[in-house]
Parts: sequence; structure tokens; C-alpha cells
Amino acid sequence: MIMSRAHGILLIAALCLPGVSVAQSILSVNYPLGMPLRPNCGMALSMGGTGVAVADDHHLMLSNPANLGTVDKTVFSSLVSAGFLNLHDHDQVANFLDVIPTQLGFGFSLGRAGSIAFSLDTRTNSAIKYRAVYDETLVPSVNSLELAFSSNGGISAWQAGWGYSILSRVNVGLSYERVYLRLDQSRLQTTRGLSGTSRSIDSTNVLWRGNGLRFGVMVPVKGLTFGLSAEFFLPSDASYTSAVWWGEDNSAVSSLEQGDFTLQLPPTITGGLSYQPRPEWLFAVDMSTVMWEVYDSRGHLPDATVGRTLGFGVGAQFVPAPTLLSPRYWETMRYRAGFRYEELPASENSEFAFGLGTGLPLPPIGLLDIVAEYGWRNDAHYADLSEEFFRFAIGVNAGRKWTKSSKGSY
Amino acid sequence: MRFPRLLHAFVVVGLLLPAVALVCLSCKTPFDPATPLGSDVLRDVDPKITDLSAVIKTVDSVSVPVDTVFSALVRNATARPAGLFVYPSGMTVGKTIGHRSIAYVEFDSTVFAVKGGYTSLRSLELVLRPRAAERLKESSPTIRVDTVEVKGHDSTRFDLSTITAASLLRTGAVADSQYVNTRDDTVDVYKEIAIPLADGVLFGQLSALCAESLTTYLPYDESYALSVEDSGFVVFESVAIRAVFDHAKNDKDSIDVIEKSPAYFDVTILETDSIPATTLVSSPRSGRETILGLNLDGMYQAMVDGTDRYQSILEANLTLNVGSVATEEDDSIIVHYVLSDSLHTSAVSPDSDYAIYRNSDGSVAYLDMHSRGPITIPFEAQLQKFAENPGKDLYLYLQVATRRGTWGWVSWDVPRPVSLKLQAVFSNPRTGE
Repeated sequence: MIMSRAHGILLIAALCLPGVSVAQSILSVNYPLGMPLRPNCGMALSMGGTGVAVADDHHLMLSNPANLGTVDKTVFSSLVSAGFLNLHDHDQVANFLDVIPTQLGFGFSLGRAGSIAFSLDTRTNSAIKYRAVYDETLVPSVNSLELAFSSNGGISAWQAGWGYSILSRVNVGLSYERVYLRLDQSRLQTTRGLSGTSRSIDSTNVLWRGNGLRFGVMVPVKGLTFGLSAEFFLPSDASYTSAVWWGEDNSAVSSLEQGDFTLQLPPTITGGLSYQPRPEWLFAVDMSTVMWEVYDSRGHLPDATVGRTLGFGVGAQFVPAPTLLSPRYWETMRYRAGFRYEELPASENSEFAFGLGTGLPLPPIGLLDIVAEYGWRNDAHYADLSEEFFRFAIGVNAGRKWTKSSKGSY
Repeated sequence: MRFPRLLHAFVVVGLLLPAVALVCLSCKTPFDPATPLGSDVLRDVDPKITDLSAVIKTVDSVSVPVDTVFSALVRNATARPAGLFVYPSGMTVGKTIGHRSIAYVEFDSTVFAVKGGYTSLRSLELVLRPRAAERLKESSPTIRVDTVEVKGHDSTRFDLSTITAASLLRTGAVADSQYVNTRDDTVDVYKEIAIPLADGVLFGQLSALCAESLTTYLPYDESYALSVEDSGFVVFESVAIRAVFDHAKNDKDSIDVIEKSPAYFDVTILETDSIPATTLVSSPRSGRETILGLNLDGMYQAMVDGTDRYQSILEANLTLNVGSVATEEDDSIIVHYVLSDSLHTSAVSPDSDYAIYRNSDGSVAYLDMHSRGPITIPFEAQLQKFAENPGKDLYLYLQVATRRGTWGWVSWDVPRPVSLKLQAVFSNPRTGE
């Protein structure tokens, strides 16, 4: 009873964490849609981003909609991550923190009709806060001048999916996505002079609501499972506002431009393979590609300077005694590790990360994921600049089978 | 044996603690809300983010020709002539700091209720009760009272030229010798000045009513102008007509006093010859402000660089020359200013839009009697809204106020033709705009 209450408090606390993003990636200013935040579930995060060929209830459709074909219970999955970033520029270092509710999902078994799921997740983050102060005297009446740049927003999406197992041999799934993009960028100039502080802001805001489709297939063959997932977006209109603001409360506008443009997001295809030689061990490998050559923002967002980006991940999970009828607690814990490499959406930009994690069973139906990921990213054009990051994530998962399977035997 | 729940907690905490420790070790400095690092990357994306020269333009000395320049009396928002004061601020009469103040007092349909049975009207006086003792230290003003035409609660129709020798009613002196401390140690008042009205029409009418046996009501209409002869200045706390009657049936020393306050009074303030009419003056008492018609074509041209036009004016400072400042010794002047695209010399002046001249630390800047030479006033916030539609005639209005609410004025040294000096900082260039 006490533990159940503790689990509930932990879950509520995790879901209520504010979505403040004070961390930043300077390199992401070159990325058209912000910094990609995949993977987005605890198991995949600790296993190097793999999951497209991993059948696991708590994955829901986050890695592959076809996974829903393996779900035969009511499932809940969530993940909140805190990101710590050290920005190295020549001999200087700046530290940043952000907390992002990464995903929340529910899945329901429909029996012979397969399973459905709903989820909400964060895809990209474009937080940047740059500020430089110049004390040089420009004119006698100005004491100091400040240049600043801020960027925030990103992509979030909710999706509804359905998965089905064909003769228990092939799992297929598809999902519909409603995708929201918001990117706010502002250049600020501030002077401190005779009349106090004067500020003007040149800002650009882009809003887009679009639709996406995901398809997946997962084919288990003995200990091997093959998985394939593809994600496509339909082009639709985005609105933009470009304005120069001024005044004490930034309420006056001296230049305003508004309009629409058609935005096409890039599709993604991911293939994977998992291997489970024994119940204790699971190995997985994923490869993905994002086709940025399809991306088109008509010049209103940063151009993609790459044609396609590749991603690679490999991971493993070990459960000491998954089949014992009465195991000790530590024998039911899941130990995971992984490595991933991703090309980022700008030329010669890449990211490496190592993940470690554990899944702590929360009797009777829950699983608490604790994940740590360490990595770095860099741009070959800037040899003296790199970003070192550490992500710490907590995922709360649960699942219960409310109906008796007709396929079960006693 | 089941895994103890306590050990379960230890495992969780044991995983969390190293994570937190790792975070602490990775962060050698506190988390930064913003950083100047990464400027190379941002500069390659947009030079306007990091390069001062790409986003900021400064001009140190743009010439701003003053096309028109004059000072004018303005009307304030209450639709009353500026410089007219009503109770309870007091009724000012006299001459001080370049101004002359004349009060208009009106007893309009004032009704005396005279009870029957009086034996006689002992006295009838216009009673003036001064206050503000400190104003009398240098002179002893002689108060002049004139009988003027009743204007029906409209002092704007009061014609000062009607104050002539023929209108003189009486004079009465206010002197230090009349000082009495009648209340307590903290409030100084002067002994009242009583101007006899014994030879007027009202005295005869009231005297005639003494013979009546019942209460009689006598309406009375009369107006007076109060001024000071020669020099001096006084503030009256109250003005009244006081009638003193002797009782018929009581003992001979018993009296009844009827005192009537004016139905309306106001004050007109004029500048004296010590402020030349041709001087550019800002005066709160006479309601005069200085108006400079600015030609900002040079600034608008400076906001354009090739195909780029700067959108924002971060700083704009105009240098003005103070000619002279006149105040009372312990007072100082506050400068208010506003930029407008309309020229209003008699219409309502939008006081709320006026900015206050301040020091660089944000405190109010005061001018005193020793202030001379240039002052720099920032007006970028007022100028920005006009910069989007260049070409309009713009006018800079200069008003002043005294810090303690006393008397004072500022003259501006703006010889004609003249060009003022403007310092400015522009930002946010945009191509083709």
C-alpha cells in the first residue's frame, strides 16, 4: 500500500514537471527544426535508441507502430528527462539545464481486433539563449550595449495508432500523427543610456500544424525479430510573423510582416533487428535515415545542408531470472546498455551517446525506468566548439491484462 | 525469500545518487541562463546576432534645424486658463519671480439673513485672512481691493484693464507687525485685513433692515479684484464679508456677526516685464511653454544605409541650452517634454504624454538658479513612433514645473536660425524597408 502510494506520487510528480527549457544547443541553430530528441522511451534511450524491432509493451508505438500488434494488455508509459549540457567554446565552458516531459502514452488491447494506443511526445527542442554585453562607449550618452539572441519552441506531436498481429507471425501497425511546430527566434538589442534601458526586438515566429502517418512491420522469426518503420508528413501551410518590437513593455511594433508558406517535413525510415537467444538476454540494432532532401520551408526556416542523415544504435538488455516463478527482486530488474551515433541535420554535425539504465519492477504491474545517457556533439566546421551532454530520465510504466486471452492455455 | 522493500528503496536511491553526483561534477559553474559562447556559430548563421557593426549604427552629431520656435500660453485639460488656481491651494495675490497674480472674488446672489430687532449695523467689512508667512519676509505688500463687474462665475471674462483708479475701493497693508500666533507653535497666520465697506450700497441696505421686527433676507451681488500695489506677494487663506449687528433687547455690548464667503473666486497670473515677451520661456504659473519645430530629415537619412533601413531608435538625445533659471532660493525646476506631430498653441495639451528630464541613473534632474548651458534630453521613445512615417513636421514641447510648487521659470537659449545637435543609436536594419 505504501509503495503503491509512493509510485502514484512519483508518477504525478513526473507528469507535473514543468516544461521549462533553459538548456540550449548552440549548434541547433543550424538545424531546421531544432535539436532532435529521439529516442523517446526509457528502454530505447538506455539501449542506444534501438527499438524498432523490439517487442515490448511499454514501447507502445513510440519506436514502431507494429509493436502494438504484440500488446495484449492495457499499458501506460511515460518519460521525463532532465538534460545537462556543457558548451565548450575554446577554453570557456557554460552549463545549462533543461527539463522536458518527453512522452506520455496509453495502449489498450482490443482482443482479436489488435490494440490501439494514444501518445503525446516531444520531438525537437530549439532552446538557445545567447547574450553578449559591450561596455564600449558608442556615443557619449550610451553606457553599455547588449546583443542577445533567443530561440525556443520545437516539435511535439500526438498520435493515435493501431496494431495487429497476423497469425501471430507478422505484426503490422499504423498511426496518425498530429504534429505541432512552433519556432520563436528573436534578436534583441538593448542600450543603457540617459533614459535608462531601451530595447528593440526583431522577432520571427513560425507556427505549423500538420499531419503525419507512420507505418510499421515487425516479423519475429525464432529468436530474431525484424522491424521496419516509416514516417511521412503531409505538406501544409505554416504561418509566420516577422516584426520589430520596441517600447518599455515591447508592446509597440514598428515593422510587421505576416504570411503563409507551405512546409514539408522530411520523412524517416528506420530498420532494425533484435535477437533474443535466451529469455535473459536481448540484443538490438537499429539504423535510420532522415531524408532531408524532401524538406522544404521556402526559406522561412534554416535550410537543410545535408541530403540524408544516418543514425545507428546498438543495445542490450539483461534480466537475471525472467522465467523463475519466485525470483528475488534483483533477479527481475532489467539492466540495459547501449550506444548510438547520429548525423545531425547540418553538414558534418554528429552526435555520439552512451546509455545505461535499469528497469525496476514496481509490483504488481509497474516498471520504473531510470536512464542515464552521456554523449557529445560537434560540428567539424568549429574545431574548438563542442557540446557535452548528460541526460537523466525517469520513466514510469505500467500494464495490466484485464481480459483473459482466448489463446492462453492453463 | 522475497526481496525486502527497504532494499528495493536502497537500489533506487543508489542509482539516483550517482546520477546526481555526476551532474554536480559535470557542472563546475552554476547553470547559465544565457551565454556569450558559441558566437562563431551564430555569426555564420546571421551576423546581426553577434556583430555590433551589422546591427547597430551610431551617429554622434546629426544637425537638427529648428524651423520654428516660439513660446505660447497653453490651455490645460480642465478647459480653464492655465495659471488659475482654486481652493484649497489658496488665493495668490502679488508679484514674485517674474509674475503678477490678481485675484477675482465674486459674491453672487449671496443672501444675508438679518434677524429682526437689531439696533444698528456696527460694521461691514471685506475680511482677508493671509497665510504663508514666509512670503512676507522681504516686503510688506499693500493689498488693493477694486470693485469690478460681476461675471457670473466666469473669471475668463474678467477684464484686467477695468482695474483703474475709479474702481479702487480700499488698500490695506500686510506687515510683519500684524503677525500673531493665534493657533499653535507650528502654524503661522497673519492678522486679518479688514477693508471697510461702510460707504457702499450694502451697508445702507443692511442698516435699513435693522428696524424690521422679523427676519429679512437680502440678496447681494458684488465682485472684487484683489491685487498688490508695488511689490510683495501674499496667499490668502480665506476671504469673506462680515457684518456686525448690535442687539436691541440685550445688553449694549452684545453683538451678532454674520459672515458670508464668496460664491466663486479665481486667480489670474500674468508675466511681468522682467520676462521679455520675445524670450523663449517655459513657466508653470503663466502656463507658457516653449515649442521647437524640428526638422529631422538628417536623422531619417542617417537611418538608411544603402538598401537597409534601420527600424529601431534605441537612443536619441537632443542637446538644448538653458539660458537662465528663476526660482525661489530653495526651489528648483523640473523639465517636462513631449514630441508631437501637431502644433497646438491653444488647444488641450496632453500632459500625460510628457516625459520628465532625468539623470542617467533615472532620478529626476533638477535645474536651479545656477543652471546654465547644455542639457541632453533623451526622446527615443517618443521619436520611434514617428520614425515609421518620416516627413511629418514634429514639434518638441518644453514645459517646466517647480519642485515645491512655488514660482519659477526657465528661458531657453535657442538663437535663430539654429541647429540642435542629435546623438542617436539605431538598430535592426532591414533590407528594402
